[in-house]
Amino acid sequence: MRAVFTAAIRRSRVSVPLEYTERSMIAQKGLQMSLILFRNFSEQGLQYARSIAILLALVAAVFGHTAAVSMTPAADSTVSAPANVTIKFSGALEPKFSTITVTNAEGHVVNKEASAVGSDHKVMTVPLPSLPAGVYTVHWVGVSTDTHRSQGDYKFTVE
Amino acid sequence: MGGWVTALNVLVAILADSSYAMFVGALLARWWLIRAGPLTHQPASDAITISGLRLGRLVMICLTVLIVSHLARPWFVASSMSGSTLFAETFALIPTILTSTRQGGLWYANSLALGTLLGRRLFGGERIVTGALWIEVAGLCMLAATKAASSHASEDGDFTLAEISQFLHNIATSVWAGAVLIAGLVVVPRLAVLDDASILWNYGGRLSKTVTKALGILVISGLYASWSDMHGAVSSLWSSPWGKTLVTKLAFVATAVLLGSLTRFRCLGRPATSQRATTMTKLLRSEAAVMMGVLCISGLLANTNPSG
Repeated sequence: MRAVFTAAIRRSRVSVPLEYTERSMIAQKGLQMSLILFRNFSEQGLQYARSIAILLALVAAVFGHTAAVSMTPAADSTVSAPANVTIKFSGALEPKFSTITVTNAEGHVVNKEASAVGSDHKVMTVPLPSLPAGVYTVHWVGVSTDTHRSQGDYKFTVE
Repeated sequence: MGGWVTALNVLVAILADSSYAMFVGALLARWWLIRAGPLTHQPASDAITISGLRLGRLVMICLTVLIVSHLARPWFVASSMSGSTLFAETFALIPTILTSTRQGGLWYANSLALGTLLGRRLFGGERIVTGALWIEVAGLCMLAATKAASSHASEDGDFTLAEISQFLHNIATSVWAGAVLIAGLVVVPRLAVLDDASILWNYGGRLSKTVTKALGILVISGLYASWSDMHGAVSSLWSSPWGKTLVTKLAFVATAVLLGSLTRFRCLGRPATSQRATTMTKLLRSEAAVMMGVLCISGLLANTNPSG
């Protein structure tokens, strides 16, 4: 420990003052002083660049939330009776908390089986029985692995 | 999540993030002080010792806050995932969270990291032992890694470039915020009254260099995250209350960087004087206050949904 303190004394009392002494000497030489100014200017430029990067990073960090990116059948589409409803998400889902339910025009749930999340954790599907013609509503809840919960509804028509 | 649960979650997140940053900052401060000069050799009238700064006690308080927030975490996750605020309902979901979700697995990893840090603090004492220091660094890195793995950056799996970038981002943010908070609120005001200003300048130089490196990592990780995650959603910055909160945060960050630049170029870049030491103290205190604002708004933004 004594050696550490001795070394620390040497560093603190010799190296630091010398650094500024050297700077003062250089500053007296006009040409080299401009180099210091240029370096300082560059450092300030770097600070600005860093600020911008931090701002971009902060923006990026908060815009990255899992959302539904495609649905089959598509929203407001008219299709022949589909075998299932499939929704693809932008991020990974928690299977235990993510669901799809399909209701008919009277509000009754028509899917007999529960929805399931695929092995890549980004696609959720619910099998459907043979659906008669009519308007159906898909209710989905997507819970991402980062705990955020998003949900939505859309309709499709079976002809 | 309901309003009061969200508010509580945000409050806990702010406390945890601030505690983590101050833990990192206190360790760095202690290390720099040992290297900056023998404080115990100062005249008796203004004697300051490293132990007198009570950084160890501060670290223990930070660790306690981290442990309490960690214990509450499964309940917040259950509330967030289920969308329920009913205590009994969300409490019943905790076993499911801990056994069947990614957050549950990460909670166990976090427990290991916190257990390691607690063990080091309880049984390692205040001695400066390189091995113990590395154990502490490893524990802190593990906490940063599990935080990255809990975030959106891990959506494509573990050990991806996005997740590693987020991990480095977490570390760099903590180093920056923690170093400034501890310097501005604890160390620099005490060093500024010493007769030998070289100790303060040495400490400030190490602080400035480290913070600059941390900001460099923020640049790289930030640019990568921006490139990979921004999909033209910038318009909502101005169109929603949430976006306006974000803009406020950006203003705080820019102010902190500006104050850091002033400290570097107006004080540390010039010979040490008592007047500059006073100026540096004021600038660092201001930067620390701004940094607290950044951490508060960060906690608010990280735990709210941009679309909500």
